[in-house]
Amino acid sequence: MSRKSQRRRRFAERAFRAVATGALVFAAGMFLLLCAGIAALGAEAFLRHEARLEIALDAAVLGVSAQASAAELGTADFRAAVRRAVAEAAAPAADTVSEIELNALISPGAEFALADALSRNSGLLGRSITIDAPLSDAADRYLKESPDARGYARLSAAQQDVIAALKAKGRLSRAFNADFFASGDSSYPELAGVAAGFVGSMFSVGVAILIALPLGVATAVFLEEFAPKNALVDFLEININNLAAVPSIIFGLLGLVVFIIALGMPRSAPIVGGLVLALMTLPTIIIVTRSSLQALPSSLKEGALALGASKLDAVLNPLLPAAAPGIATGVIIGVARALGETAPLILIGMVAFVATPPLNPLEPSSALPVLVYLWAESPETAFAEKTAGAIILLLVLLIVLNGLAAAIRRRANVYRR
Amino acid sequence: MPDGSQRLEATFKCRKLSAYFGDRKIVREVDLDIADRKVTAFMGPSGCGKSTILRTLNRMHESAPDARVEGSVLFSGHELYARGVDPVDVRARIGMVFQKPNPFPKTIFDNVAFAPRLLGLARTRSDLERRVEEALVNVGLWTEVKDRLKDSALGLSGGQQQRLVIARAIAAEPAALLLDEPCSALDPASTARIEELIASLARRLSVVVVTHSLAQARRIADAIAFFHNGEMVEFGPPGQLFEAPSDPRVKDYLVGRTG
Ligand SMILES: Nc1ncnc2c1ncn2[C@@H]1O[C@H](COP(=O)(O)OP(=O)(O)OP(=O)(O)O)[C@@H](O)[C@H]1O
Ligand SMILES: [Mg+2]
Repeated sequence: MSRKSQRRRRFAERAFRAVATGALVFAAGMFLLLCAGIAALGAEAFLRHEARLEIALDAAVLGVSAQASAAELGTADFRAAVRRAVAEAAAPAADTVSEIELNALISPGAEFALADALSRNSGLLGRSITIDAPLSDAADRYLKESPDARGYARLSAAQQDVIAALKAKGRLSRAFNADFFASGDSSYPELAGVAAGFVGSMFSVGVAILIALPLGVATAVFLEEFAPKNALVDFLEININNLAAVPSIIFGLLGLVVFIIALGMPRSAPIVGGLVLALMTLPTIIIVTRSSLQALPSSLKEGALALGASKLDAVLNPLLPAAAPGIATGVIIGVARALGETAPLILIGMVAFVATPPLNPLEPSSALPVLVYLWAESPETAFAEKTAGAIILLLVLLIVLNGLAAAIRRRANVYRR
Repeated sequence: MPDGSQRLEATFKCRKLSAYFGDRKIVREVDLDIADRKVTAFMGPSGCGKSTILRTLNRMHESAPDARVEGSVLFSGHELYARGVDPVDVRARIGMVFQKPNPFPKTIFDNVAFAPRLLGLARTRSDLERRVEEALVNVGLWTEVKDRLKDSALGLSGGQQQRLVIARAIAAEPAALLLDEPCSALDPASTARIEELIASLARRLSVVVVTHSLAQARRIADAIAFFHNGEMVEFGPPGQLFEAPSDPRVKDYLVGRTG
């Protein structure tokens, strides 16, 4: 009898192992697929094509007087200067190309760079300078997708000839796209960057941690150690647990009504985003803190009490430090969730088009996941790679946070043995 | 509670002392006098309530949920259970070592320094270090741990942990010390060391020891209280209790028929 049941148990164990391994392999496979897909698309966001152009800052071409004032330089036609430089560099291929077609090859970023250079040094007027001008999104995509393919819909045949000529003369290069990290949003995909969203996300999450961590831990300690056991407290507990399951968009609505409409706080500001994310993270922090405290052996608290510690002393000294790894893990997971949260931020207006990163949490800002959402909606194909690039950045941040949580857990285990 | 500026008589007088867990009466109307600067041993079969009555002596019992105490305990003439007495003060004056060693998940040093820091006993860092060293020397742990004071206390062996928590308790400079089976995990050499420590502590304060070892009780106890099912059935000096027990339940215990 025992032999037979032993065989059956062994079979059950083997079957369980097979199923578990299968599930793991499936999950890992899906994750790799996701990463590979995003990486293939997103990697392009970190590179862009630039054309080396020698641009003559000729007063006549710019349409200003030779001794132009700063105000007059503001009206200068830099586009004409850029156009002319491209035509020269690509001659004779550029002869058949219209002005509009030429304009569409080079990003307005080149004009901004020229205006910038002149405003810093007005002596450049009348001289010529060499810059690496970013190509427009259409030209960039053309080169990234099929550098040799004819009949590419977004570039005319004449435009493709110009690109080919620039390439033949060694003017084109593939360069690291620093704008992607340093710039705010832009309606030109080749100039758009994640800086405003990144800074906004950091401000929001920072505000959320500053509020939710002390409040959540204090609430948990109160409920666990000090609250009387009665119906009201039970009711409170049930509601806190329920709050953790409330869809995040509801918190956004709450933030809109309470913070913006009732309290008159600024729209689109990371401080409001942080408050909303704090509300959202609070139940998670309360729950993990309570369960970390409950997981401690009661002998720990008794030991402190027997040495003359008050309840609060005991909580502050051996209990919270001993529970800290568990709390930290929970907080990091809560923060990671907050970092990826989109819906509540959209409701409080953090979807605004923000070109310059905010300097403080009161300034209008975007957030990384909101940026992903915005870009994913944009019609320009070039925003697809931007979207993937922003997702990569978000994923890297999440992986770093989770790694941090794992490291804290591991350290705690070493200490506990 | 009076503060310890002049040495007080660390005597316990328990009158009709009862302790409950919920509705279960674990300690039943115990009348017991514990003398100052003496070692009093609690003995009795497992589950008879020794640990529970010990925990009523420093108001630890009531920290458990549903736990309740009735009756009175006078400590050096002051009612521990009087209204207005803060159990926190009581526990700071009457030290306790639990049956299972419970070091904090901190360094060895921080474990022993816990009470001096909490109660503000040490004025300087070197004073603190001196107190930690003295406590560890007293329990015979110093030579074993002096090079690893910054290591986790949880890395110590069971017997080392047991001595560590005793050191932690005496570093609080209590007026009385309650020890629940302090030698249960110790080898003979460490046991002898702790027994010496108990004897030397008893020159300054009153010590109550729960023990299952007849030999140990004979060696260290000035008086033995014998419990059975929550009642104190016999109390007296070890000679009398061991040679001529008056209660049949004590006789049964001594010849190994119970407990
Ligand atoms: N936290 C608790 N809740 C409910 N009952 C308890 C609790 N602790 C102890 N008891 C009960 O109280 C009784 C006395 O326990 P106690 O620990 O005082 O025994 P003891 O004499 O110290 O035994 P041992 O020699 O085995 O340590 C036991 O019946 C036990 O089941
Ligand atoms: Mg016991």
